[in-house]
Amino acid sequence: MHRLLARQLKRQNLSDDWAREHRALLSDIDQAYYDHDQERDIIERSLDLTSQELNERNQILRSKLALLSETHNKLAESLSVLNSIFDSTGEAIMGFDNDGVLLRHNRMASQVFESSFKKNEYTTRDILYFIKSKVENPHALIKHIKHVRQIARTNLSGVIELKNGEVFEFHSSAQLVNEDVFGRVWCLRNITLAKENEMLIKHQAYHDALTDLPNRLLLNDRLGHEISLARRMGHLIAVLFIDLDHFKKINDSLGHQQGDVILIEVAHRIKNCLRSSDTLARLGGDEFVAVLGGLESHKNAARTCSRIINTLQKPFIIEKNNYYISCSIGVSLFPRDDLSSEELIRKADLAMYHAKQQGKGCFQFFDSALERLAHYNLDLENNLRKAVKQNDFEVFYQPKIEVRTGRINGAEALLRWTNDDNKSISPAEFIPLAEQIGLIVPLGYWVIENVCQQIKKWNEQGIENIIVSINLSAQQFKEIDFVIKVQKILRKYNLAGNCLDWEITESILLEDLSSVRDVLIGLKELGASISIDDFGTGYSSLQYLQRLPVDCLKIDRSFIDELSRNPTEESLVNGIISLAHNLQLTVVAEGVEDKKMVDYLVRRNCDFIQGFYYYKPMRAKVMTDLLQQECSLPVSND
Amino acid sequence: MNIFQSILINGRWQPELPESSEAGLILLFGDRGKAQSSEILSVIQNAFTKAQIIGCSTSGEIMGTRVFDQTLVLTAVQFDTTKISTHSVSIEQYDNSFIAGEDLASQLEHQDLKCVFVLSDGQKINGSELVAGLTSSLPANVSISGGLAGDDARFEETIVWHNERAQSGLITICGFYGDNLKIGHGSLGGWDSFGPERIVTRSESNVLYELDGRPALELYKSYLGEESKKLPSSALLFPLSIQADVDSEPVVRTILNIDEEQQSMTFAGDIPEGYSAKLMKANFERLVDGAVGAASNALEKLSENAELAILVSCVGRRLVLKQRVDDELEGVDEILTDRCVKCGFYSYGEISPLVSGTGCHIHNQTMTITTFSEA
Repeated sequence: MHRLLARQLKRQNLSDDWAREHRALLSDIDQAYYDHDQERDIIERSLDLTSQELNERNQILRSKLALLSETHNKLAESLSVLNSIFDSTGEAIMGFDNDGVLLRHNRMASQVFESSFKKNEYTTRDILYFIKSKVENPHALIKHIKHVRQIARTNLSGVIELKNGEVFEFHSSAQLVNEDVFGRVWCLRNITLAKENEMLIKHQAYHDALTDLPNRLLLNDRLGHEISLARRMGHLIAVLFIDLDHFKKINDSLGHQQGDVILIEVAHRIKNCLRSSDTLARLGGDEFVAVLGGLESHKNAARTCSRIINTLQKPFIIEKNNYYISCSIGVSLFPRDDLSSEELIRKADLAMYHAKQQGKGCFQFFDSALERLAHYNLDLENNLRKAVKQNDFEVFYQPKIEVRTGRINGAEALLRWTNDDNKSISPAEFIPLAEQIGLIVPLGYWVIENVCQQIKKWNEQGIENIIVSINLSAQQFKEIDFVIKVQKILRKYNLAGNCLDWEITESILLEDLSSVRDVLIGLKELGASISIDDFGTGYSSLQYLQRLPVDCLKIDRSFIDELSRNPTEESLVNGIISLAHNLQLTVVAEGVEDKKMVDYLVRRNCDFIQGFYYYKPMRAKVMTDLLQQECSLPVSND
Repeated sequence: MNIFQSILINGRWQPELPESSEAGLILLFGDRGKAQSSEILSVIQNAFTKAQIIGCSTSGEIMGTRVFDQTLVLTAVQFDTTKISTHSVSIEQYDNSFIAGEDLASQLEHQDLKCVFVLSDGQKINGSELVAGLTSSLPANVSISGGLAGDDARFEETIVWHNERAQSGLITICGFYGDNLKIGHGSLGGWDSFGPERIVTRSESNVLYELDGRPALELYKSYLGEESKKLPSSALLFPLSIQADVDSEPVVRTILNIDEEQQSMTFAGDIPEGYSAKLMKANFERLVDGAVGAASNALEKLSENAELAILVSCVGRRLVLKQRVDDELEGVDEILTDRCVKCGFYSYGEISPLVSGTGCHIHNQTMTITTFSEA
């Protein structure tokens, strides 16, 4: 029986008989109590479990919420990073939906359109208006847009030019999510500056930075085009190789900066002499090349050359001072001289060198003789270099006769070169070349050494008081330690300086006079004497005779030659002798070939005579024999 | 309509069966052993020579306002003009309950068919499929009601009988014909859902395996506690309310069996995967109110008082209400009045149209009432 029912019965003090009598009722009540307890248990249990389950779910939801919130924050963070990247990219980016409605654009896109709309928000309509009003060729772009509307997946790229000159590169691609097209993204990048830089670099690659004239690359290209054109039309082309004379001196004295100013002006002046269709290029330094196309005759080229020479002869005014330069021009003609652009330029260059040799400030057409000469010079140059290495030279001596005693007083050392073919090459040919290619200096020392060695030998053979004249070139003067080196050689052979006489030409005096003077004084101090060679042909000023430590004048052979043909020249030779003597200088006449001339010179009190009449230049051994004979002769006292 | 009612209790019919009756239909609800007795059957058939007998085993047979166990309640109906036709099939002959229902309904003459009353084995068939099968081969205006046989709270074997056939796995129907017959239906539950909403994550037609990824049986055991020893009957304390989505009407499902090995539970109707499910619990007042409501609904379509009412109430209600099971029967009686003869049984499933009147469904945990009157 249920405890509650039992207790209730007990409290009521009911008898067992009563209980027996109401057994069925009590049983029902008892069962109802148990049922009730069971129901309550089940409900309580359900409540517990339910709340437990709900708590668990709550917990799961909380952690899901936390995760969601974390994800949300991360998303927000990543979105803000994406947004800042979106905004900071150099590209203008616009996103459109499938209906062409602008959904998003970045800051750069705003900047592109800002100036046009003066607002922050744009619609597709605004952009179409922008395209129609600002883009250089709107129809092409609109065609692109129509195309992508029809074929949604197409990717596009290209270049848009605005009317204001700005250039944009664009690309457009469909926005796909799992193969579905959600819209379209357009990206624009302003490449105006890049384009300009590209053009500039291209320009720089083909132009000279200083004058902005075409450079060699562009010259070749233009000349190539002119040649093709001339072939078709049957025209002439002239290639003018223009080189400034003495420009180096301007650069050295005024500095490179002013030199550049002059080059720009030169370019300007030359350009003014040309037609607009002609090409003027600068090859570097002071070299310019002009290409004159479509010519009827070579005379047109000649006229242009004259104009250029004239215009460059006019003074250049730098800092209120006038500077003068001239130019030498070589001209080659297509098709006469050559058919290729490289050869035409080379031949014009060659002709220009010839013009320089002709005395500068002039122009010269290329001809094949000129080329042959150039080849000859090139061979000569190669052989000369080889000869220096192989020591193929020999010093010859031409005695000088003292008029007063009739005896050999000294000799002029003369360099002779016998080549591999056993052919003797004239010094008139190889000395200027040696000067030009810088070989004169080593060759000069070789001569000095050789002469000193010979004098030493003579001394040892008892031949004394012989003075040997050595020719000096301008380049030797420029050697800073020339005097010291000469001194070393003299010491080496234990000789006194007075056994040497240095012959210089007047042209040397055109160089820096004070430095020439220093060298001459240095040589004088060693005991040597100084002679002016070829006197009367070069320098017009006689002032130097007073300023320089000169001992002797050598009358140029041209005066002596002329004297034999034309006796009226007498007064000139006579004048030179008088001048020398008045200045306390001695006089040497060279190139004397006959008795009549000797007599004349003796009568005029010329001090020394050198020439074929007495002796030709001779080998050292022959000279030694001659000197030994002289030594054995009694001294004449008349 | 002439109705005679008697109960076989302690081996005696009370009142005694008539010597001869003109009744055409006998509804027989009660103990399965008694129903299978050929002796009792021949007594009945001798008394009611013209009657078609249909009936089933129960989890309590209803007579008037009382519920009996281990008895047989006999209700003999003699219609004035209404004709009936009864048929039966065994589920063993069919691949599934749908085809069985379809075939069974097709045996009925459809002309003038008013309504169909069906009694089915309560354990071997799928109630949802059976109803769908019946519905599919019957005219749309024919209402279907009935129930699944019970077996006390044993869940061992249910028996359906049709005349001489009394066996497990049987489905029998009775078709009612005639313009004078008026029929009413009412079906209400009165259970409250509680606890968290769960999702059916694994099921196969009416076999449920998992809720929210956990074995359903384990969940039931934890809720039942000590009572889990009495499974499967104790699972009736917590029927399941299932719903396709928030907008659809929830359906109540009651448990027929469990399988410890599979950790599964067999319900009286389908439990589709993806449906949401909530446990339900009894509220005594509302259970009784539900029965009263069902009675009112069953009367609504009748212009006059019902003469006969067949009550099919869920065994789960009886298990919960216990001694108070009489409360719901008395509540029903108050509405139907004592002029209406009431019979019926506590079942393993109820079949009735929805209150809205459309379609016909298997219900669980409800009191389902079908009322008849003849003009």
